[in-house]
Amino acid sequence: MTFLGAPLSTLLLAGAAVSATLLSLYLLRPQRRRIDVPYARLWGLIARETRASSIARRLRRWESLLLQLVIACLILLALADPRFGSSGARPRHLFLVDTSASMQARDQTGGRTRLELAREALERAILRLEPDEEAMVVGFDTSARALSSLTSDEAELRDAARALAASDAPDAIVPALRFAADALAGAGRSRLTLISDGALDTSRVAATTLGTSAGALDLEHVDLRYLPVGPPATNVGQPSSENVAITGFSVRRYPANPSAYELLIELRSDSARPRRAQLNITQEDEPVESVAIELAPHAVVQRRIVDLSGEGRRLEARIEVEGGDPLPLDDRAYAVLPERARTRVLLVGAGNLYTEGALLLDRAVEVVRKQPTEYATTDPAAFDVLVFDGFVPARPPARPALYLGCPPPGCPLTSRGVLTAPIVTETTREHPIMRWVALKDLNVSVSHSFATQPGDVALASSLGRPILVAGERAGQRLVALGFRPAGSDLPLRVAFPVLLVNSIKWLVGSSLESTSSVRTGHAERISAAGEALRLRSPRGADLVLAVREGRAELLAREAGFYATADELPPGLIAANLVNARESELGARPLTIAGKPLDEAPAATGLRPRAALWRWLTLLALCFVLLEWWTYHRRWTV
Amino acid sequence: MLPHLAHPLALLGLPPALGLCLYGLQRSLTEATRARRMLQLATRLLFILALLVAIAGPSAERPPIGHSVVALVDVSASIDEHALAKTSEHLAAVRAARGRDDRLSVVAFAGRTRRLALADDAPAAAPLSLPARALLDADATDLEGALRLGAALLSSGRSPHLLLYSDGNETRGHVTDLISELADRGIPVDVVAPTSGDRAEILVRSLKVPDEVRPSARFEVSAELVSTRAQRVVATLYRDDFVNPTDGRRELELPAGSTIVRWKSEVPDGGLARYSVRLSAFTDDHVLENNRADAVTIARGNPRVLLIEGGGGSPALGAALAKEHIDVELRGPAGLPADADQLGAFDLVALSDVGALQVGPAQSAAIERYVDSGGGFLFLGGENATDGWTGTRIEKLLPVRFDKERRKEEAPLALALAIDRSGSMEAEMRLELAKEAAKATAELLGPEDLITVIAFDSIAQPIVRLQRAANRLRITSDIARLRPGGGTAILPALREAFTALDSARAKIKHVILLTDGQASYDGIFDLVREMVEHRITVSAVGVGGEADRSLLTSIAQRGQGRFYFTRDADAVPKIFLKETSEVAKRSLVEEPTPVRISRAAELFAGTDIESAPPLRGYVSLRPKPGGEVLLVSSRGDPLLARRRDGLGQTAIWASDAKNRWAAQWLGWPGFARFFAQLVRTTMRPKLAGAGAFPVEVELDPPIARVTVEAIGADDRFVSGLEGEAELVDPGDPRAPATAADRAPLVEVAPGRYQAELPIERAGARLLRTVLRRDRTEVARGLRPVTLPRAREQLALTPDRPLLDALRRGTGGRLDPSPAAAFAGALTLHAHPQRRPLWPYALWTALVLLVVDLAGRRLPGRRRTAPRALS
Repeated sequence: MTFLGAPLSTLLLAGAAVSATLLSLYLLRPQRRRIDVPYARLWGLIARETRASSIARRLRRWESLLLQLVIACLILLALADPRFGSSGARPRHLFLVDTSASMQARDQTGGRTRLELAREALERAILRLEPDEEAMVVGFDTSARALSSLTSDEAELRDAARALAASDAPDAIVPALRFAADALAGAGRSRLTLISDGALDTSRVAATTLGTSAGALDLEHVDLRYLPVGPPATNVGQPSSENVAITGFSVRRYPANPSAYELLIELRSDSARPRRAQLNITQEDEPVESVAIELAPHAVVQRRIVDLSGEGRRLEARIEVEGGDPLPLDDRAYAVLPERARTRVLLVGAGNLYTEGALLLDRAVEVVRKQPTEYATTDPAAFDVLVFDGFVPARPPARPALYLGCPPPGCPLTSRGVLTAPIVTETTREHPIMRWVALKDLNVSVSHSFATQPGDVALASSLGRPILVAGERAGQRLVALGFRPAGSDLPLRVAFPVLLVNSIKWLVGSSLESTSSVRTGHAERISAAGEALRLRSPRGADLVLAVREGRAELLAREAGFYATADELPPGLIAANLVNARESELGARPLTIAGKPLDEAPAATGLRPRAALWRWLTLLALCFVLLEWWTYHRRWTV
Repeated sequence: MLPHLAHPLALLGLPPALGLCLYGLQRSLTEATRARRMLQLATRLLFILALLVAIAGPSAERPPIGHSVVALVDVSASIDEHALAKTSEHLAAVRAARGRDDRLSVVAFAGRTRRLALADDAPAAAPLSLPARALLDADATDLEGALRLGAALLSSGRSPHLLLYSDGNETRGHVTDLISELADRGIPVDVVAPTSGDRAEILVRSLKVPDEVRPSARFEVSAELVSTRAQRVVATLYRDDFVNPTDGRRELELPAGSTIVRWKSEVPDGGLARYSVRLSAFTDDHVLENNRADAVTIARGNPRVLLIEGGGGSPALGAALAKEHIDVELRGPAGLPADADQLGAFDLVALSDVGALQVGPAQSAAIERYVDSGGGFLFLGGENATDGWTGTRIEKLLPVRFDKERRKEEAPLALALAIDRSGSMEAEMRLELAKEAAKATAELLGPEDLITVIAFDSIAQPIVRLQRAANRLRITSDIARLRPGGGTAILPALREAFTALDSARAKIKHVILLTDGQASYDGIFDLVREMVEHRITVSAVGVGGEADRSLLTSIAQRGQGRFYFTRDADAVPKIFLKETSEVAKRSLVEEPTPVRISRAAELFAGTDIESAPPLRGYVSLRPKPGGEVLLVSSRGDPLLARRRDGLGQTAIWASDAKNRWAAQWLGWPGFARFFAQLVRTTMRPKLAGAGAFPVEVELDPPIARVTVEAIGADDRFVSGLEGEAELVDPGDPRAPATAADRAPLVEVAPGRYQAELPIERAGARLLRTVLRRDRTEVARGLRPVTLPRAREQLALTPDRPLLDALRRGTGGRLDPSPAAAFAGALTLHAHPQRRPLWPYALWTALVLLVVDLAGRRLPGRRRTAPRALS
């Protein structure tokens, strides 16, 4: 037994004072009742009665005192805050609680979620801590975070248990174990309790090693226990559940037809029996498709919808599974038909209908034409791409640029000389700029050839001397053609407009252009301007993401639509779980460094942290009420 | 602020307690006055309330009593000893500035993190022993992990601060993910960027080689060298651990800053080549591990050509291509696969002097599909490769037609078709096919040519009288009237043909006899001999197993013609066309001709084609629209033409490549190069076995994200594939990857397949990707992936923008003085410590217990007994 409350000396002092006071109050002679009697005959009766009850009356007074003393003792004992546990050197304890998406599953209809069970198990485990034992609560999905400090304060630990919330992201157990090991390192003998449903990404855990070497888990001095919640793990056969999930939902714009999209949806059944689900896909709440899908045991079904339109619109898929489904999270998925950003192009040149005409072919391109003499007064920052047609500015602009003819001086690339009537002998066909571009037997009068730097790609060369180069200078992409198109038959070829359009696409770079949704738990880069990107999460939380080099990193933990807060109308980013492994809700056997984890002992017996003072106080209260009744009924005085 | 109640429901106990008290009071037998009883009730209720409040578990947030600071010390390789010494000094000063209620923890981190033992009562001057860098994986910096751990180690109930000593050059994790989380939890991060001494450092920042090269082709290798001060150095390029043969060692005077150094190299054979650049002979350097960088390139094996040789002859072409590093597999026509997938193993399929009859319909279809999907197809002429190709699928692929218009000076042809119409010809629609063959033959002939068609069973009957082939309509309708009859008698048919042709005015007179049965030999050979004497030749075609092959062979031999036999009646039209072309020999031009360039093309580069000797003959062809004629004969006939077809390209060389027509070419120095370049420009752009889809790799240690973009030739997405990606050791690329280095490629968007592979160790590896549909391989890729060696050591300056973003985002300070670490306003931690208030409630209850009893026991006014005895 350990006492955590007021010091014993204080309690003894207080006890003595209270006892003395109570005793002295009882020693006061109680006032006699004055009873008026009409007949003297009755005195005799009274006298007999008094004699007969004097012992009982004396006892009644002491019973009353005893009750008061018991109450005082109970209160003093409660103030001592007694606990069953013993004090002494204790291992530090870390509770690693799985908060990944699978913890939202309800294994019984109307039952509690696995996270609620985990929270309950954690609260029980906290009560089983020794009174002075320090512990920390850490929740993890793809990353781990401490929900409490390392403390023996039960209130803080219980608050941490209450603060556990399931995220919509998958788990990453190895980084979580590494975090736990680091947090416990140097603490001598310590104990780590993993509270999880066992539906974990165990693929990398078994291969880990223990120790202090790089890459190993420093868990050698840690007593590792596993507290499973949810269905038991199975060692034989494939773990399965009744879950049916959307494990893929994305839309992509066709490369050849940027106004049309293709949608891919994948359904996966984790069930060992055939399931039937109704799939509904809506676009801005308007139905796109509604179809019943039969899923064989453990089947994966893919469906695609081709030639969708509706740039920037919201798509939502929902399945309703006959007979119910344990995890509603993965029954819905979201996407946004990716918007195609307008590209503002500044064309600087004396005027060339071929170039202008070719640029106009792409409807997403807005072209502003300027004469070379007007360039000095133009702000390049207002444009996404600059195209220099037969003109090279004295200083390279701080924007991506396409040079149609790039003679020195001014050309950001170094010239290796002039080639007369070069023929294109090598092309880099894999480069996106060269997609569908054929330069065979191109007739060119004269061309500069360029010296390339690491990172440059010679898109077309004449006998090993690059005449079309893509690269980067001072953080800006550039494409340089060694000759003016007008000095060749290039403008007469189909390759010319294709080359221009491809170059502009590459110069602008890819962002979320072809991404309709991000995956929860994965850091995804998104384009952003300014120093910070403000987003509102699907559940209404405000996020502020730091922007570096025009990109912010979004690590979505909620599925749904994230909305940008600073734009009107708000830009939308869809986030989905779409993780087949996380949707497999069956528990997998968990081994670390080749050894299966020991399960934590069942929570039976005395709870060392049980707050006895509360029960003592309650008992005191009962005595107080009892004493009130006995006093007024004059059973005690 | 109201206190927090752990069990607020306990307060619901007050009403029942009140009820019980009132009830007790109502039934009270005590004689106290009403006022006294009310006082008793009030004190008792207060007493009960105090107990209930205690049971409810009240607590109040404790105001911060001091600062809790966790110092995070970056000990990764990018922090030099000087900077580390400065950090220790700063940290010692921070420890000295710590107040009585302040808490300080220290975490050292690099790729891993470790909390340092630091007793609260340790004297500030006690030196801080940092762990050995190697234990913390010094070649990496996990800033995010360190900050997460630091936030976890903050003491509750104190004002939190993280004090970061780092250059911000993170190599693992994403600290930007954490900024908003730290800001939400009210944990500011103060940043102290280390000031490195003026150390001398020289390193190789990168080594770049092309991912893919051709064997024996020269390419550029470049390295970026960085030096903090000007100094002399020797940079040596190694290929497979030997100094690069042509261009290896460089003595350089490096200026301060970055320098690009370039070498030329080549890989003699197909396979992998490992490159490394190493620095030596420098005068001053700090970290030696970063003086080397590695890379790997793949020399794709030689292009593979399937050469189908139809006419026998010399292996000159195969040998010439082999000399030019092109692997040739020589097969006869029977070896031509009928499956496009089998052809897919080759970069080009060439038919050399192959007759149309030697290629079946399935084989033609396979070539068509192969070209459509990007394969290259080269048709080389020869005496066997003539008009029989007219109208075939192969001709459709080529940039020319075989039905060359006859020149006027050529002699007309008189052709008699003797077709068996016996009852047996009804089987398998033989007669119908024979009729089709006859019609096609009539259409093939020039308008000045003469044709007669004689149908025979036991007697012979001219269906088409000898007439000019220009009357195509009539001839066709006459042929259509052909009906089956009785037995088979060849002699009358030949006699009828002889009679018809003998009087004809034609330079070439020829009979094609078609039968499926057996007939009497009597008189036939004599008649044939007589026909030959009259310059009439006879060819025989046997169809079906019952045909008398012996008789027909003899007829053909004696008639100076050819014998054809087929069990398949479908082949009959083709045989007729072939035979007619053979007889006419119109498409062969056997006269010396020089080669003239019609259109300059890159394939002639370095061949000196103008000096090529004359050819002795060629197949005369007619160019198609859309084809590109590059070489012509002296008559202007196409000699070399090409065109694109589907995703592939086809080319035709009208002459041969052996010692019949190209005999002089075999000794010409440009022969091998000309045909090698013809093959290289015609073959599929991607080599056989190369990944059909582009593969991108994003290195984000410890993860490499692999993305395969499967977009088909029609620009649609290729969906529904499955496969995997794996990283393998370039030292043994055939060794299977371990399970840890392999991951499935998952379709994350239409046509986009992704896998995440662990990549922690620096160095060069090979990435293999395979995509399949229904277990059939669709695409395979192999490309090098290089994680720069000692990446941690390549960053020489702090990442100020990242550190600024971290500091500003969390409200931290830049370079705070040691005294400031524990200064500033005390703010509450996100998890504030709470002070339990229930003992106060119990102490109150204890006092009320005494008060309550005093109110009852102390003397006061008495009241009359409630009832008197009577």
